[in-house]
Amino acid sequence: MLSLTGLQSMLSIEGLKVSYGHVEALKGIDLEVRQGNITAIIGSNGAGKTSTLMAISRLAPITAGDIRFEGQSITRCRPHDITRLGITQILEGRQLFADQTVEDNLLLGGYTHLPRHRSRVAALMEREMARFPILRERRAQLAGTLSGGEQQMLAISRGLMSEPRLILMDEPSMGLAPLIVKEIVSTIRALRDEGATIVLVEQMAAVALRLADYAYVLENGRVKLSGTGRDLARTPEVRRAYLGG
Amino acid sequence: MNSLLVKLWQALVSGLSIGSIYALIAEGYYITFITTGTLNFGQGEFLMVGALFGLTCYVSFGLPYAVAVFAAVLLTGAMGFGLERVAIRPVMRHALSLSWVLSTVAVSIILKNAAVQLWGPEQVKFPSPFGESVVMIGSAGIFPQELFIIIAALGTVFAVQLLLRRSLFGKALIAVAFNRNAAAVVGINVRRVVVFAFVLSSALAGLGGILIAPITFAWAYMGTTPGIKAFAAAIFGGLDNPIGILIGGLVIGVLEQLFGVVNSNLKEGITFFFILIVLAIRPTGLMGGREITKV
Amino acid sequence: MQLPIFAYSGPKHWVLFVLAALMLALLPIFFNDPFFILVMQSLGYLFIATLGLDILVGWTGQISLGHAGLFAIGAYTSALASTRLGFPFWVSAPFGVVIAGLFGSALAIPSLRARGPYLAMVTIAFGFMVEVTSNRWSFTGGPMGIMSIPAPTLPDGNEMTPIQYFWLIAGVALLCQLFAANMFRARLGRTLLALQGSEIAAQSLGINVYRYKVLAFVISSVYAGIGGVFFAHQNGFINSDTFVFSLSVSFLTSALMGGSGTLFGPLVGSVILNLIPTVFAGLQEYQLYIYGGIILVTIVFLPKGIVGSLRQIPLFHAWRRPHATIASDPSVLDFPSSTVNEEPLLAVHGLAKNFGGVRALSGVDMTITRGSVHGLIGPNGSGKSTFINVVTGVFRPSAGKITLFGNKELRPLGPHHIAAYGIIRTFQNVRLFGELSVIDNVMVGFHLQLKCGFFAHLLQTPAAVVEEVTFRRKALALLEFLSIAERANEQAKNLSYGQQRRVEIARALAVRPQLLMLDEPAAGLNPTELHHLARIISDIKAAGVTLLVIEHHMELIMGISDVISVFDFGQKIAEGSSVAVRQNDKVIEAYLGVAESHGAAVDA
Repeated sequence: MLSLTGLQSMLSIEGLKVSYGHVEALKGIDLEVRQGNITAIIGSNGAGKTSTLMAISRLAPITAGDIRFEGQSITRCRPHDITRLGITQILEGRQLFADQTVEDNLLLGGYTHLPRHRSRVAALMEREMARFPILRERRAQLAGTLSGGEQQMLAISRGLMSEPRLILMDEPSMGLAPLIVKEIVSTIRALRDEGATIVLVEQMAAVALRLADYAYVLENGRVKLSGTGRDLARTPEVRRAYLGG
Repeated sequence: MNSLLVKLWQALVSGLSIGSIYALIAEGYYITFITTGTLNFGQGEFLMVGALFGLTCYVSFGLPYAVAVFAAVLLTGAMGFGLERVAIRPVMRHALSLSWVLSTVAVSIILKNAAVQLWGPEQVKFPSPFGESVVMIGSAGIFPQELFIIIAALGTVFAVQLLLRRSLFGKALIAVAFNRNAAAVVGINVRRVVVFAFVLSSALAGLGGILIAPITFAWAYMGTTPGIKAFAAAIFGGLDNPIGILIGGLVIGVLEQLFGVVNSNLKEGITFFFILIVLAIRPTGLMGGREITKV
Repeated sequence: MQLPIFAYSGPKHWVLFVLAALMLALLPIFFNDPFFILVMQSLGYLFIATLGLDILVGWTGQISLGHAGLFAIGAYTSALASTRLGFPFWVSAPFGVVIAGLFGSALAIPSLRARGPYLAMVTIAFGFMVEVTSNRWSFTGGPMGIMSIPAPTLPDGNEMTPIQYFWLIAGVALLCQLFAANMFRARLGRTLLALQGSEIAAQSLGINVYRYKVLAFVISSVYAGIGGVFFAHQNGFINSDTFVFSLSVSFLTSALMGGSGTLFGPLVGSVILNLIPTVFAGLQEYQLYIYGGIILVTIVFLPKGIVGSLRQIPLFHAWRRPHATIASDPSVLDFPSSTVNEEPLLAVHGLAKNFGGVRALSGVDMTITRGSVHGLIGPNGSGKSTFINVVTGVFRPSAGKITLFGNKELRPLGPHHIAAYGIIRTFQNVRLFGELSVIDNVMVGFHLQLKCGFFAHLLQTPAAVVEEVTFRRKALALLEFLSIAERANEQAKNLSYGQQRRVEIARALAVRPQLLMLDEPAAGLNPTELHHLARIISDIKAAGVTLLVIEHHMELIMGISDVISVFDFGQKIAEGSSVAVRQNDKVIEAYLGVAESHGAAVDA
């Protein structure tokens, strides 16, 4: 299915509803992710951004609606199947395996290739350690002892180990110093330039809108606005609510 | 004086042997607890099934001890699979956190009744494959079975820990224990890991049963107390600390036997008194993990 | 506003009580079979013990697998007192109950800090120790136990007949249920359920959690003791064989099967479970299969127990129609106003908090002046919530001082002490007591102001009833103030996020705060609700309450705040009016993340 920008739609969400018990986190959203794009989702805390990513990863209960990845509905898949299909999520707050080494975290990131393709996993680990040399330096250290920025890099690398076609990132900038955020931002941009498709959830709207090819503003479980990153950054409502006027 | 020393020495060995069984069962509690936050309150009954089924294989069918051990472990492992399906998975989605306690207890009640029907309520002697004669080490007499237990049980505990730390699946299990969502996101089949945890944990209990039976008696009611004492052993060091569990089992085993030398009445109560003291000082066990909730 | 509110009690309950008393009185006369009467006696005292356990497990959420131990202590104490000391039943029985209560309070202590499986272990260990001790100790008769325990004697010197003993047990059981109902519907039940819902939220409202946990243990052990006493004098003989682990399991199962945390759950559960051996007496061999099977099936398919599941049925709700209408009392909004505005209400100097190696707060100096709305902004993880947590006593500061009212230094105290000073907060993730109704949530907020004590509520004195109604009216007024009064009788967990937020604020206002700290109150609100929130905040300010508001929503915070402090990486990087803060370079960088964005922020 082709769209206005001429790129293929990779993931499309229709009428998605997510509820945790009685609380409806998503009340029916429509969203489209185009191949090779960075699609951002912004909104205040509690708007439903994380719930959207968790629904795609099948870690949150979907009560209605459909999610289609490359044409196939994935709403019935189990979470580990989602990874095997080529979708990976870099979770909010990193959520590394803190008691295991950097190397083991990467190894587990390549779980879907194991145990059969050991050499491929080894090659992928090399690739990630080349991307973030600090990981090579700290390969035998426990992941929990890394600094915030290093943990974020490890989380990204762990996610890339499964060679995903779609990368979901939940608040990669959280708790990081501006300089580190700058690095993460350029990493994300570089990934997009290498051909990855990324869905980026961010609380720091300015960061997200600068990176985004396309963006959605969620409010109270619904899509309130959508448009290109640049357009939204200029919209008065968005500026007032998220960019300090 | 000399005879007291001999008694203490014998108590030490007996204590280590029973203690290593406690450690083995506690290892089972550890594995299911870290992966699911639950454990099998009827673990003692799985020990009992291992002992009685092992007895049947060894004595009634005349199979070699090694084969009987293997069969007992296989059966209890399979039962663990059933337990997870019947008593754990259906109640995991319940908000009430006590459901799994009672569902596993319910299964243990059913197992106990089945055991009484199949094997009768009396105590049965399980002949040791290493013979009944005492081996003299210095002036102390020790059953060879006791030594075998120490080697086999502790060896198994170490082997399991090695599996958890070094093998891929073991690392996956630790990952699930640490963070379910993160494990799912890297492609680990969380459900399969959970099932395996229960199979392994039950198999360990079964192994413990067939190892200990030649020392004590094998009978349908043999399981409850060791199951609870192993729970105390697991709690002692903290349910999420593998070293603490090992030490806990051995300490409790030895403590019981030593106090038994002094006064057989004290022997029974000392474990519980001891664990109460430990928990009064450290509510999450001596080496237990931190409890941090985000506020 | 007038609203039907489920009243404290009513004629309906007295009717039930009288009917039940009549039925129990007539039962043994119509079924004058000795075995039947024996069974009924047993059901009676087992029910009493189960009811006690549910107060611990269902209301307070504390697991106990050692209840048989407390039951045993009641039994042995009364047995020993009446055989060795020659006390008559009427003396030895209360004595047994008191001793059981004392042991219960001792058992509470290790249970205060232990949770989950660790708490289970504490109670299991206790139960085993009681069993083992009574089995081995000559004082308790060793394995042979105690014999020739006398039945109670009547004033005319004769021993009670079994029928009379049954009437005694039934009468006491009825009283126990009545008292439980009185406690449940009023302050104690609310408080314990609140504890179970969220200990931290309960503490933030001034509830001394430890005290209530101990109280719950004492009550449950008193009930267990009563049951044990009746058991001891039923057959004239006891030994430790009865007081085994499986009895504790059986008590717990009865409570859960019936429906924990419900009024009639223990009755239903204990009657059904304890009748199984009698009903299936013929199937001796299969009895335990049935027993285990019933437990398993009920736990899996009826997780809320029988009564708990019945409550979900709409028909049941129709029966429980509330029947009293009360009017709201707006006087509750007359907050204690201070004499001097603009004085420092709360000040921190050099406040720091470390978690392991992480510096969540370092060297924060901040003053909140009375009568102001003080905004607090900063990126996620900058220490804003930690600030509230440290100030309210949830965490101890690693360094620094906190001063109240200009001169009173705050020692590191528990959160419930801080609440008593009028420092109240709401939570980033709304922490309502989900199982309680909306209005009951607010009622919990009145905890510190309720004067009637335990016994007043137990006996339902007129003063207690009046107090309940008085404060219910105030609670309704607070809900009106937050425009959520129409949902007053609904369970709090069924409300939407935005509605729950409002209830949380109403509950916080109930404590009569001098300083109210709102942690991200706008999260998850739609524009209408946001507008409403801004108005609520200015109304609260007008009522004389000082506010600290943590928020991310720029428009809201800039609009309502008199002064704004900005946090980043645990430090205060800016402070001033909203205009000043908005133009501050450091703030821009913290929020927009990168220096080069300076240009983008200036875009019109």
